[in-house]
Amino acid sequence: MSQRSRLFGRVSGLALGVCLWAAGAHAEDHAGEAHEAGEHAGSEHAGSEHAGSEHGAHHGEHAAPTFADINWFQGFLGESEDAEPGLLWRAPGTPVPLGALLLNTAILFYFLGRFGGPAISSGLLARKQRIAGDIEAARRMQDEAKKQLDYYEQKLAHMAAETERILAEVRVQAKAEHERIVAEAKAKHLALEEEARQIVEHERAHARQAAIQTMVARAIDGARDEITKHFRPDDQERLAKALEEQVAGQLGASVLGPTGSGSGVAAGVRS
Amino acid sequence: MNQGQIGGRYAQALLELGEEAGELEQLVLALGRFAEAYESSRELRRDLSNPTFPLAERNAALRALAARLSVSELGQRSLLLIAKRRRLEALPEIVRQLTSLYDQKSGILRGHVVTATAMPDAYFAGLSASIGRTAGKRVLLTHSVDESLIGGALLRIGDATIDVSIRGRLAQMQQSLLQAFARAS
Repeated sequence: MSQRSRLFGRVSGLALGVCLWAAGAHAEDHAGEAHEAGEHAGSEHAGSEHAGSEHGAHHGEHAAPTFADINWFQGFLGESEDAEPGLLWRAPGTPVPLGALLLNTAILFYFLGRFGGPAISSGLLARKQRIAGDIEAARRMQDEAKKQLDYYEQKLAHMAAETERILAEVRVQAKAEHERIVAEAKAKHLALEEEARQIVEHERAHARQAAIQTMVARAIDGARDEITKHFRPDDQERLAKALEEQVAGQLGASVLGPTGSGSGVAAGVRS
Repeated sequence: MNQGQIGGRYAQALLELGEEAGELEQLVLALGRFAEAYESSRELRRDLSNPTFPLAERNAALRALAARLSVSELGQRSLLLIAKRRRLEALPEIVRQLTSLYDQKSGILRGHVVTATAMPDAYFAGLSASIGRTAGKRVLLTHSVDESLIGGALLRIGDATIDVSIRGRLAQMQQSLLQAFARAS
């Protein structure tokens, strides 16, 4: 059975119930009116109180309508005092025919089903689809959550092993790093030692050279002072004569002679 | 063209001119005096090369100075030519090369003697004669005194030096000692 059919069945049942309730209520109204009419007649006939009260009591006993009291088909068009009660007209005070109510209800539900049904149906269908989509999304989320849960549970299960593996790797790396640092430190130490040794050697040689130069300079200064102190004019004459002799001798010939011709430097005598 | 090349060309030309005129020695000596004055005076160098002064005035000044230094007519014309060609800045080099050419041509050897104390002229004459005999040339020797030599003398002739001074001997001794120590270590 389709959704639409189920809905239509429910609404029809409800409408039928309403009709029956309405018919019953109308019959009660009619009975009430009759009762009021009886009371009215009683007051008008004050002299016959007994008769009136008896009538009222009689009428009160018959106030509940019976199935036979239901107007099924008389007066579909309305009430008329002149017309003979029949399918079209009914006597005034006669309840509305239940057939007319059923017919009106059927027409109403026809129009509801004809014009309002598709909109309601499509709305319901969309709502159903939306709910189904929501249910599907919720199901997917549930599946995803379950997968995540499984993943984390698995991960937690392997966490201890992973931690141990990482620790082992770290230990190996730390050991290698330690060895590398120690080797580097040793190499640096050796290099520094060698550099220091070379610096010491260089400084020692430099200091030795400086000491020698100082010593020689002092010796020469001392010699100069001694010579200057004891230098005499005849020493100057002797040296001047020596220059003359050198010019005249082999050295002079090599420097000043045709081969030297003043263009060389006298070896060993250039200051 | 550098100063040496310029000096060589002009010196050769002046040598030939001097020889032709028969006054080479005077020309060399006179140009030497002029070059010495030119080199020693900054103002003279600046004024003779200053283009803001008229050429006639510069030439007149050059002639006047040359005349005062007893430069011959040939020498003055040579100086005017050098100035006209704007080569006065090369004059010291020209004279140096001219002197060198003249010395070679005349067989002259120039030298300088430095002594620790003043020596008699006879010493320099004897030394000059000695050098002349050894070199086989006429020697022109100048001399000066330098007390820092302590004792002895030093002869510079051409590019050669003969050093018999105490200062030179001490320097030689110092060098020998340092070399000996260096060999020992």
